[in-house]
Amino acid sequence: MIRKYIALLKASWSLTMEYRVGTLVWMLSNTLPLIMLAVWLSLAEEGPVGNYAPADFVRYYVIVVIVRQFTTAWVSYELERQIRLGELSPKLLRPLHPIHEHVAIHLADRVFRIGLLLPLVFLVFWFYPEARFSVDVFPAALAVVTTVVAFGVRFLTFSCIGLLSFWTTQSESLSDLYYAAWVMLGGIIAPLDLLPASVMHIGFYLPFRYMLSLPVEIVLGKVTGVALWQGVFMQLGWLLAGFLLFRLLWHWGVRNYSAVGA
Amino acid sequence: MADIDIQNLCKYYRVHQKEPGLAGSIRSFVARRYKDVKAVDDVSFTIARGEVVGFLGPNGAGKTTTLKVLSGLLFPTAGEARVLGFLPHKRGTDFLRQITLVMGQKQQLLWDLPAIETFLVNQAIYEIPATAYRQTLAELNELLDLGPLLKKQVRKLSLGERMKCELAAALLHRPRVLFLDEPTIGLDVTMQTKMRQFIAEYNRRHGATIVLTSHYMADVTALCKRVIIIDHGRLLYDGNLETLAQRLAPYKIVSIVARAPLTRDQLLRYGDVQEVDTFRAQMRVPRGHSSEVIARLLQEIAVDDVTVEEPPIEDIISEIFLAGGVSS
Amino acid sequence: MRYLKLIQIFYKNCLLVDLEYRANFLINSVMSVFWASFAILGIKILFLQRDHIGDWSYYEVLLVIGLFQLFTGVMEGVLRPNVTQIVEQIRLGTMDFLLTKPVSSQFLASMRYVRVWHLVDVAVGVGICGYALYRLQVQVSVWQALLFLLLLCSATVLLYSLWLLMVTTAFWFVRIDNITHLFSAIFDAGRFPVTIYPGWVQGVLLFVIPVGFITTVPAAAALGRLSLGYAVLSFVMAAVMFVASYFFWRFAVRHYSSASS
Repeated sequence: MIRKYIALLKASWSLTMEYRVGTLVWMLSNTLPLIMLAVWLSLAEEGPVGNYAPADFVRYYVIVVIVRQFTTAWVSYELERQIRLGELSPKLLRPLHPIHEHVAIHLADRVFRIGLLLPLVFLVFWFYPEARFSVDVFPAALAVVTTVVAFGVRFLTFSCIGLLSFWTTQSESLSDLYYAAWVMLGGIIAPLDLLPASVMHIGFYLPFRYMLSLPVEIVLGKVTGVALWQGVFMQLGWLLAGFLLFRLLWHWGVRNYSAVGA
Repeated sequence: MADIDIQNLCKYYRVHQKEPGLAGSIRSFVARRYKDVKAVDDVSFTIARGEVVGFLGPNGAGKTTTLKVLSGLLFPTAGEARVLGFLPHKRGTDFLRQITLVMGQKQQLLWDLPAIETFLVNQAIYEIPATAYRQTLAELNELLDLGPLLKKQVRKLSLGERMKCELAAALLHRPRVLFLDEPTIGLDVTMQTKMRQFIAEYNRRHGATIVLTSHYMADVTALCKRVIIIDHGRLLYDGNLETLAQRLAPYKIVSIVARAPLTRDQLLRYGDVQEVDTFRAQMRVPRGHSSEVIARLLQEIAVDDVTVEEPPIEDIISEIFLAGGVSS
Repeated sequence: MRYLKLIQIFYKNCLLVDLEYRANFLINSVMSVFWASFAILGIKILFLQRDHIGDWSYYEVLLVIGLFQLFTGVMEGVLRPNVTQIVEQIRLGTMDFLLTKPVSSQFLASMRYVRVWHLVDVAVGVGICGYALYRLQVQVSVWQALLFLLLLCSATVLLYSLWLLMVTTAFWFVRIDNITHLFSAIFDAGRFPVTIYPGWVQGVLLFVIPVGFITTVPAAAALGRLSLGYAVLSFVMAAVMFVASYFFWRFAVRHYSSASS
């Protein structure tokens, strides 16, 4: 298995290099956090919004952008395409689960993105010293771990939506819906503590917070003590749920696929 | 035991029926009608180790569906298929390691990378030991002349070059059973010939079992001793390519060269006249009566030469498909 | 006249095709309402904290959102399907068929397809605009209403020209999905009145990628707060972009015909 992964990662890295311009444009297309930052800054001109002064917003969105690059996933669209065009068929005939190919390409892509992003982040803090902050070792380490898990949750739940293409031709719309809910409840439109309390309460149980916001909250010290562990527990719960659901949908879906035409 | 064994195989699909025109479209928008299509309908055959079998039929006859059932992509509606003793649709690792499916219209190579990258991934996926990999690659290289192609990006290869790499990628793990769906589609004539030679050579060297579908009769006549013909999901013929004509064509071709100029009307009483060209003529004569017709013809017309031939296989097959079945 | 007739035939064909996919109708309607609510919820969150953004009140921002939704519909329904086709045709070389027809190639390439169900977005956008204007109780003079409609037309022309400029680059780059994606991402900035952005961003959104003229300017006109200068500028921008895209297309087609064999 490790051998297979090494080979996959090598090929994926070559592919990532091949698509570097595209990836760069995709990164540039992440304008929404910047638009929202601009809007919040314009609100914060008259005084702090909630607990957020302008520098807090800058800090918040910088970290959101970083975590987002680590956790981004487009696997649902890939699966949708492969299922729709029948590209999945030949892959089913290889003695390796087709999902591993997607995992590998996402991982290779991470390396590339981070390499580009870190210098930019450094520049932001250089030119905007008010946004600098310090963080202890423990929250920092936990943030790294939860970021990795956040990627897992996002990848798995997104895959599940892609797998719905086995039954419906509309999974792309569902992916869009899911994405929109994530934008709203994951912490892009607004830091979650600026949302109404009732929404935050529901958001606690949904997967979206655990795909982006949680690591950001941990780094910024916005979630501590019991709430912190509740968050981590929920995140792990969603990871497990995503995994089980994926297994189930894959099993049913492939069976269905081979019943109606691959 | 046979490598491939299918018994009473059936595969049905449910499709929605379209109606023409705007009114029809709106009607089907509101209420849809469905119909079962029998893609494969009660087909049975067995194929022994090392056989090369041509699978013929017009578009939509059920060839690809059958290949997909055999390779494990589809599970049968009814009946049973066994390949190398496995149930294909379980897609067990041991089964997958021993087969390969090549589709002329679909590709597994990574489009934006050189083919060698896909080869390396396949080496890992099929767990091919390094020595075996090198050996196989060297052999494929020799047979297909891959050398300069491997380092070029797949999207920059011509169709023929891509197909070579596609085949090589599909054969790296030395499968015992090959399913080739239209492997020569879109290739030019020289390339088709090369592909055929390669497939024949691969079969000779490794004794692999090969099932092949193609639109080009030449593929089949060059490679297969045995053909299986299906149409509308039903098995029409399974047997030797050479005896196909005797079994399925209800006529023989009689060509004559006469001493006096011939007219069409004059010949109509002997058979179905295909062409008349002053002294020469060609006609179809019912198989059972051919000797009796020829005897009569020799008595009534002064001829220099008479030949009786089996009709060309291409013609027989296209006629079968036109008629939509065998008239027996 | 012939062109109107052609559009009629093209769009009828597209309607026939779209009727085949009835689930799309439902899904697109749901998606359209969803995206509208999404945009509205987004600004609700902002207005939880303040009762205005910059000098725009809630219903004024809602008007901008309505226009954003409307033009998203135009983009997805009328522009993108053609762009997808053009890119595909350039890639496959079937563009040649189009260039040999005795009709303007730009017209054929850019007006051939419509995705009927996406026009639901337009309807929803109009609905939001209507509601916002109703709640604002603006007294719209005939002159203002006329200016608003004219600005909507110029915004449509502007959007069309921008897309044409983008897709024309496909003659050189072949794959341009990245470019259109980037454009959509920048177009997203049009959800909010451009005046809330920092000065230089405003400049970009008005004169480099003129999104501001598509949503903010018509909205300001309806609210009676648009200076005549910006109105004139809007028409000038639309005209300049349209002419530029026309010549760029012609240039690209000539380049294409001479480069390919």
